[in-house]
Amino acid sequence: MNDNSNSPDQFGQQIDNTVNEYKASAEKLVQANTYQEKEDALYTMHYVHAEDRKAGVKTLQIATDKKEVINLRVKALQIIGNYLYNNPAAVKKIIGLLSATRENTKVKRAALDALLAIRFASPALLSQMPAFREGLRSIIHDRDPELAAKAIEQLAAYNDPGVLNLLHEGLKNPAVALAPEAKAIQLLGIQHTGGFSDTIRERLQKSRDTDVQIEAIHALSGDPAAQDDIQNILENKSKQKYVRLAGLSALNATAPHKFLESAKKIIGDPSDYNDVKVASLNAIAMQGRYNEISGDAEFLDQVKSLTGHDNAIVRKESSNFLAGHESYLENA
Amino acid sequence: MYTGKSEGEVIRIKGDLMAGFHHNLPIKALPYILEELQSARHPYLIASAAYALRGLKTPLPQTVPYLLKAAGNLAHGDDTFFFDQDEHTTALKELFKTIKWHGAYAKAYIANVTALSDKLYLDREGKKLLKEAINAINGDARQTGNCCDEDLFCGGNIKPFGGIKKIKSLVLEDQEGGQIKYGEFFNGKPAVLVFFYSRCDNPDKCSLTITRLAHLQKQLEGKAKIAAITYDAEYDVAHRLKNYGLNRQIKFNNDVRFFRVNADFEQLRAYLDLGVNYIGPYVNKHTIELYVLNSKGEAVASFSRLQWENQEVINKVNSLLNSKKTTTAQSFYSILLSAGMAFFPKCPLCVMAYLSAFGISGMNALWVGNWLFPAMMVLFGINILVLAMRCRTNRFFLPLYLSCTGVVILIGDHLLLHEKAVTMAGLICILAGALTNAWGRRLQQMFGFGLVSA
Repeated sequence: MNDNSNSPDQFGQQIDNTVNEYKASAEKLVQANTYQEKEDALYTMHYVHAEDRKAGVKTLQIATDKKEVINLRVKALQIIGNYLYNNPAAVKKIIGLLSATRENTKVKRAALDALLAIRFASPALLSQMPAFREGLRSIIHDRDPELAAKAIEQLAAYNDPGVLNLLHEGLKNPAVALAPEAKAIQLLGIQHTGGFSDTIRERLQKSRDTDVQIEAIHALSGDPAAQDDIQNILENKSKQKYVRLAGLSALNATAPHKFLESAKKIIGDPSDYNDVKVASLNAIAMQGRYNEISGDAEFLDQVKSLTGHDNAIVRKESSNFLAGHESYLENA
Repeated sequence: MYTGKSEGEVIRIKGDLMAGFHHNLPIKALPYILEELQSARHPYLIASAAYALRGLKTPLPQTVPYLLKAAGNLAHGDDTFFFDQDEHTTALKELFKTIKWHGAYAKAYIANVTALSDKLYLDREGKKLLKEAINAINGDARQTGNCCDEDLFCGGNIKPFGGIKKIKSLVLEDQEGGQIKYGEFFNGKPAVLVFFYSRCDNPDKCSLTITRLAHLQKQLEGKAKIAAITYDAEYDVAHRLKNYGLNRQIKFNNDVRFFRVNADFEQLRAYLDLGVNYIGPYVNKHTIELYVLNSKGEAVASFSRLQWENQEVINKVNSLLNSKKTTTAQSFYSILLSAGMAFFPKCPLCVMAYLSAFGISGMNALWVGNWLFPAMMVLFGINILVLAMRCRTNRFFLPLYLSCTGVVILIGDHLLLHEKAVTMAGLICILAGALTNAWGRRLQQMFGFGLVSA
């Protein structure tokens, strides 16, 4: 038998050891009174079990005690997630840390991380959602940018109209911006019925920032009014590669006929970039759109000519494309 | 009102409007409130709707299931709001307050209300509010009378706006990319038509509408055409329409199709007064709507705002199918009777004409001549009377004038003239009266005449 494999008995023993280790650490934590004892216990525990009431209460007490040493509070918040999952009273106390005035920034960050870790499915957090949203709103202007950014992002995910409006105002007037431009556009793009399309379209047209352009393209990918702008970006060889690729993806998703027009131009242009050519071929092939190019002999000749390209990836992708087309013809 | 408004603004406006009903909610506004309780996901809409419901003069037991449904919709998260100046509230609090307000009127649903403690994850305060609501229901000694006197059902006959003519030439593109005119598809059979769009993020609206349409398709068994038209024609191209339907068990065929209207959707929107609004190209608000169309594509019934009952839709389709048979039969017999009377021999000469046509000596038939004319007069009298009643109902008097003219000619001919040509003229007038009686409406629509009002 391989030395690295575990027999069922060995595996069972490992589990028993883990459980015993946890019980020992949890017992230590419950009994701990001094800083050293608490530190030793907290740093050996990886988590507090959801059903371990004694350890959970002690961990919660450490986390929420303003007189406790900061690093112990942070550590307590890092391991309390499981215990919070089904415990609305505990969740409420952690939410209280977010909106507490004069609370240490590290503690607030750890508290927010603990809540965000359980946000998807925790019934306890769901029952406290009104308080959680209020807690998040209380920190969107926090002096700690990381804390504020996480809160803004989460509220935007909840389509919070207040935060979305502030982000929108920030795009129009950078002096009051709540988040960096690219991030603001990314968050506003979550809600396409928010009425932000005109502003985002304007930023796409005017901004020279690559990240802003990419996020704007993603945000506008479902907007018919932006299709021409996106098509122009895709065909513009002076645009940065990743911006063009974002445009390719967006146009292919929402205006496939326009994308095909542009793809043909790109593939037929010897001076255009290899990455964009390859991505265009891939996009047509992956969607099985051979029926749309089958009658275009000129286009197929252009793809054939790419099979002798200097670049190995271009040669490979063009060959794969033609093979796919052959297969389509056989089955048609 | 909502055109050009962002979704957040729409939610705020709707919520504020509903909250305004808190002091007085008329019954006519009730479907709008129940719509939000049944399908809204946003906590402000749910909270406002629950708050508004307490504006009814008397609680209505049949609104309780909507409150319970709304509580389930809050699975996506509650939030805090202010209705009264000093007290913040949440959607769940408002729902529990409204259930509590129902008191004895919610007794029929006490088991469902109690089950909320298992279905919803409530904290201590939530459990306390639920307990108060349950105690209020159990402790309320009011006599509530019949539970379901008020009909909350939102289906009914409608009179569409505008004429069907413009709509008939609308071009529809189906899920295979094929094109057909509205008047060509919605023709020959009743049809069920719903509206949706694939980017709808509310599973209780469009997704559920199409899923239920698939159930309806099975139950109708081909008696009616089935169609769904997207609000979002730019985005819902053919393959998206097809996948959306297939994923919800729609079985596409010639009579079951999904469409987008590339141009002139506004005409259809105006014709049916669709409950949809846009911000730019995006739908920012829409309602649930199902229409039943007759075999000419005219909308004759709508089921909107609340999820329809399939049986109600099926009943409407069946009534259209039955009335089509009756109308056809009525027209046939009407023509037959009138034609029969027109050609009934009115004088010995007519008898001779018929009998000689079959090769029998006309002179042998003279024995019937003595009672023939009086009998004909009686029949004419009945014919004129029936015609007069029908013309008065339809406000279309040409058939009556023609038949009276024919009768006068025949009487005059019998008493004075004895001319075959005159007899024929009289017969032709009576027959024309019969035919215009059967086909009057079509003549009116085609030529715009009919001497409609006398």
